[in-house]
Amino acid sequence: MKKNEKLLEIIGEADERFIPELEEKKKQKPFMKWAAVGGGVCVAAAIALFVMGGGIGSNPSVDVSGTTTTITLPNTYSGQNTTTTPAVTIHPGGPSGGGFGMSAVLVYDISELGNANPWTEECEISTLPVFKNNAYWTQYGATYLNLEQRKAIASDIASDLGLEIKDESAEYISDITGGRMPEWQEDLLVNYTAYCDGEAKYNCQWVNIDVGGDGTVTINFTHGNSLPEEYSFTYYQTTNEEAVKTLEYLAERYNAVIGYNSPNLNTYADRLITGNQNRKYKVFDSSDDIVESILGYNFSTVEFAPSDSGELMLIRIKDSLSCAEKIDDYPIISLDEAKASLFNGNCITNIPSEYLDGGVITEELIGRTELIYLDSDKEEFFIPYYLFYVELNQSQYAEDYLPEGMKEYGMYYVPAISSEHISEIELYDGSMN
Amino acid sequence: MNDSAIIGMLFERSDEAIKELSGKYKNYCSTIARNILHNEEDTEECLNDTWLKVWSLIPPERPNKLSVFIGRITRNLAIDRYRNRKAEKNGSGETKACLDELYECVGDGESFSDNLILKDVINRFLGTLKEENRKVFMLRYWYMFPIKSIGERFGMSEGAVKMSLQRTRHNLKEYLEKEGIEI
Repeated sequence: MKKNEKLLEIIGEADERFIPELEEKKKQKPFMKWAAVGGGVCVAAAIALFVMGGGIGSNPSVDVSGTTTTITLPNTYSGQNTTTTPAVTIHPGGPSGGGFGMSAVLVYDISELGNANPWTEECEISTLPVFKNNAYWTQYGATYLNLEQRKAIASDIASDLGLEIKDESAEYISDITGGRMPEWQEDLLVNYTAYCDGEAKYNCQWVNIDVGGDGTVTINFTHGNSLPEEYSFTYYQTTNEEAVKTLEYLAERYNAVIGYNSPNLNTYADRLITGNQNRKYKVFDSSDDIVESILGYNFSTVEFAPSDSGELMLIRIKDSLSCAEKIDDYPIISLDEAKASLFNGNCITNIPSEYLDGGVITEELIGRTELIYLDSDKEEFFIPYYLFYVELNQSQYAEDYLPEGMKEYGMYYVPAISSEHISEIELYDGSMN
Repeated sequence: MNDSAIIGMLFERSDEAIKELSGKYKNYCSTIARNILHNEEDTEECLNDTWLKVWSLIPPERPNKLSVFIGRITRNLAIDRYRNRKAEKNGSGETKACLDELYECVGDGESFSDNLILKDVINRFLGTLKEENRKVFMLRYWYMFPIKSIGERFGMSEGAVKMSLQRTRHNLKEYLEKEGIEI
């Protein structure tokens, strides 16, 4: 390397205090787009894909070669709006709009994914509610709740934890953009954090409470919060039985924060590409009513996350319906109808077609089926989906890509409300938002 | 979402972390990569590499300042990509201009013998600069912004930016010589 090249490289290693902050000069539109084909609102969506490996809970990888793969979906969801219920638009942020990583899971056996989803194939449900998400994201995330509302939430959480807020910070869009956005946008609150001294009660110097614009609360124990020795709390080494015991302890310990009448435990683990398990620890609000339970499972959840040393690092509380309005109850299609759509290729996914033999999904490849809602702030409407875990063809992988015996299941989503209620589908265009 | 929350999610190995990361820093990193590469396709690929690199580094790393941490990764990846392209005789963008300007300070002879000493000297040199001169210098040689763009950011003419850079480069050369760095 020549001296001028080395100097340029060394300047890149300069101390961070010398690197000026960069104000953004312009904003780009969010990442979704879709292609309307023909008249009306028939949609043919082309999904450009980045990703050739990885999966949820595993190391995501990107297509470093820069090539893309395209799947074209047939014109299926042609909104006729023949009923009185309003038609909704789907902008899937989860299955195909995530912007990174292939929506897939790694397991040795699909039974490892067994979770506490109250929906089963035996459930007799003819309708499910659809909600409008008022906290639908801006480019800077959800900004629906204002400062006073977020302060009130943080204050309640701090009180439930027995803590006192010592300081707080708020970041508005204007702080990020440096005053380059329209005034009404500049005043939108992006981030709010309350800082509590946790030394006495949690043996942790600071407990930070972030409240998002969609009401999501993240409690960060900045130096970890130890559990009693008898509880195993790790991603990689805790068995299911141990996890249930730990989750029971955590649910009891933080009962005031959780506040559910019927808390239900939900722990499961997929695998990392190394073969290690990747365990989740969640609690959701349950009910005797199956629809209420489904809503609780999908929208009212508390997740506990361990640190590498087995301490409680983070609690995330989601209550996405608190910022949503119910539109109506919508008739849902049967599982068989959803499968028919899936087999015809009418589904939402970001799995490249070459991961399926002949690009075709058959009954034998379906390892697991769930009914779920996607609840991220990137969903304009909360609608139910049938989620199919489909075993992928491993011939695409390098020989030693996966540990022996490990399988990868791609996630394919079919809207569970019938197509006449869907006016448009926006699909991921392959960009990284 | 604030940076500490994103870092927390990376430690959780949550794939949501990458969404949050790219949502917050895509424009920032795009600017850096585009300045160096002047090519949209390469810029996009450089960003993909950046997210992957961040995922592989955090954990165990826990950066104090996430923006600089990510920006530095993007910069290094973009320069690597620039070098590869240059090897293919397709080099372009501000990088070549920056290298030509730095040639004034140190020439293009074979590289320095001790990178650690040079890094320390550069940091001390930056500490001697007035804030505005330092910002102009870093926008040019860290972010590799075009001269015109730097002028727009600081309300300066292109000539004034060039003059500032020229003086700083001259001072840098003298500083390196004074510190015994062989030029």
